[in-house]
Formats: sequence, C-alpha cells, structure tokens
Amino acid sequence: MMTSSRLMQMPTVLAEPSTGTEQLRQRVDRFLRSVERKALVMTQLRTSDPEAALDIVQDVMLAFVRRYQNKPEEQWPPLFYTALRNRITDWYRRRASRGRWLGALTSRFGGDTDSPQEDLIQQAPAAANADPAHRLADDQFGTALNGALQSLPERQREAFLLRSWQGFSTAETAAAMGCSEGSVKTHLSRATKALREQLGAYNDD
Amino acid sequence: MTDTDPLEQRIIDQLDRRATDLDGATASRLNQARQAALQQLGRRRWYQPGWWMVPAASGLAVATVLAVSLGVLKPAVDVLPNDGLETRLAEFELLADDAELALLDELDFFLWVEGQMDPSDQSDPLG
Repeated sequence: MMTSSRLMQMPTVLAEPSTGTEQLRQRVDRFLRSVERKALVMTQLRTSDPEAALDIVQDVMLAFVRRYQNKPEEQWPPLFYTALRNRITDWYRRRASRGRWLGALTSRFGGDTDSPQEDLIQQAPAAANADPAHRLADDQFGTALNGALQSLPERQREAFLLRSWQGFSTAETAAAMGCSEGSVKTHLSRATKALREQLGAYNDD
Repeated sequence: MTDTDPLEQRIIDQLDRRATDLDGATASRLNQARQAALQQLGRRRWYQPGWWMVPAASGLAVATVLAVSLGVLKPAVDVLPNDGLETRLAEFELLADDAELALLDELDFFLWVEGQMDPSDQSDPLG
C-alpha cells in the first residue's frame, strides 16, 4: 500500500519532464513570436490573399512544432521558412488544380454567371480591411514597393526577403531556399538590381 | 545595394512597419495560431517509434514462438494432400466454377432430394 509520504513525492517526480517541456514551450513560443509577423507579410506578398496567408502561416506553425521541435534551435529559422515555402507552393498547386476543375465544370455545364461577381464581392471586404498591406497602399512608396516585390521572380524575391529583410546569412538563406550559396548570391544580386531600377525614383526622397 | 544603402534601408523599414502594424484581428489570429501550435508540444504521434515498441515487439515475438511450438501456426501447405499440380489445378477450377459453387450452396437440398428418391423409382421426383 502506498504511504502518504510516497504520494507526496509523486508530483516532484512527475514535474521533471514537464519542466523540460515548459522550457521547450517557452523557446518555441519566443521563436514563433519572432518569425510569425514577417512570415505573414512574406506570405501576403506571395499570395495577395490575406485570409489564405493567415491559414498558411497557421499550418506552418503547426507543422513546425510537430516536425522540428527536437531539432537544434539554430536550425529553426531556415526550417521554418522551408516549411513556409513548401506550404505556399502547395497552396498554389491546389489553387491551380481547383481552377482547372472549375474551368472544366464551367465549360461542361455552362457555368454560373453570378460566381465571378460573388468572388469580387467576397474580395471587397478584405480590400476594405485596415490590414498592413492596405495601409501601406496609402503610402506611395509602399504601393510601389508592393508592385516591385511582386514583379520579381519568386526566387529573387525570396532571396531578397530572407537575406536582406530577415537578416539570414547566405548559408541560412541557401538552406531555407534549398539551393546553393552561389545561387542565393545570384538571386539577391538580380533582385537588388531590379528593385533599384523600379524604385530608384524614391531613392532621393 | 550595400548595408548602408538608403533605398534598401527604406524598403526594410517599410516591410518592418507592415509587420509591426498588424491590425488587432490579424494579430489575434496569429496569437491563436501560435497557441494552437504550442499545444502540440510534447505530444507523441501514435506511430512514432519509442520505448513503448520494446515490450510490444517482445510480446509479439514470444506469442509467435509459442504459437509455432504448439502447432497453431502449422504451415497450410501440410494440410493439403500432396498429389500433384494437375489435381491442384482441377480443384482450383472446381472452386472457380460458379455453377459448382451454386451446387455446394444447395447441397442440403440435393441431399434431401436424393433421400426422397426410391431406388426402384427412376422417375424424376420433382417432375
């Protein structure tokens, strides 16, 4: 029979692993806080869809915790952005696939002329939201920056955002992008050149 | 662009502002998403390898050895008569034949019919 003194010891024994979990929880929480907002902005730039961007970032946070919580902490930033890039690619594939099916069904059954209008109506409230993208649109430079970044080829934009904005090293950027450091340098060089050409008029403001 | 390039700095400032000036609803959703992700911490997926596999594998091994030694898992080939490939093929044809399977289904009926027949009477009992 278990004595009361042994019963008193049990919480102490059980508390040890939970302390480790709590420390891990704090580290993961701190890391996710540090990346979530920039990840959202990057995803908004890619998708131009604030709702989809939020869903994607949420999925990536879940996937990151499930898969990479036991990885060394210094690997977390590139792993997180690798997961983000893969999830965005997946979102594009699904959207393209859905578009093909909808296109096929529309051509097969004649289509619904109300649908495009409904889509526009659905998009209208999002455009009216005071989200950062639209507050930036009030700023002329912000608008021009949006256009310039979105006109960049994907790899160039990714290299610029990770290397110049996020402050990743060339090696970390290469790990996140799944390419060589030489490729990162090339993409970054082309991105900065294109941005300078498109935004050069704002250089002296 | 260098680190001190004013245009690059302006771009970075704009992007930073966009990230920090999230509206309340978006920030709240991000917070909820982060909390949901943190709930996953320490959860082990049911198929994830771990120490639980050791007793499970040991138990399975012991059960298999016992079953084999007691003859429960005697190889099925020993049950079949060893009378050649042609016989096996014929049995397979019989089993694969739908008509023969129907006969097996109604075996009780045909046995009853046979029992009703008088050996001296050659007429059809159903006729």
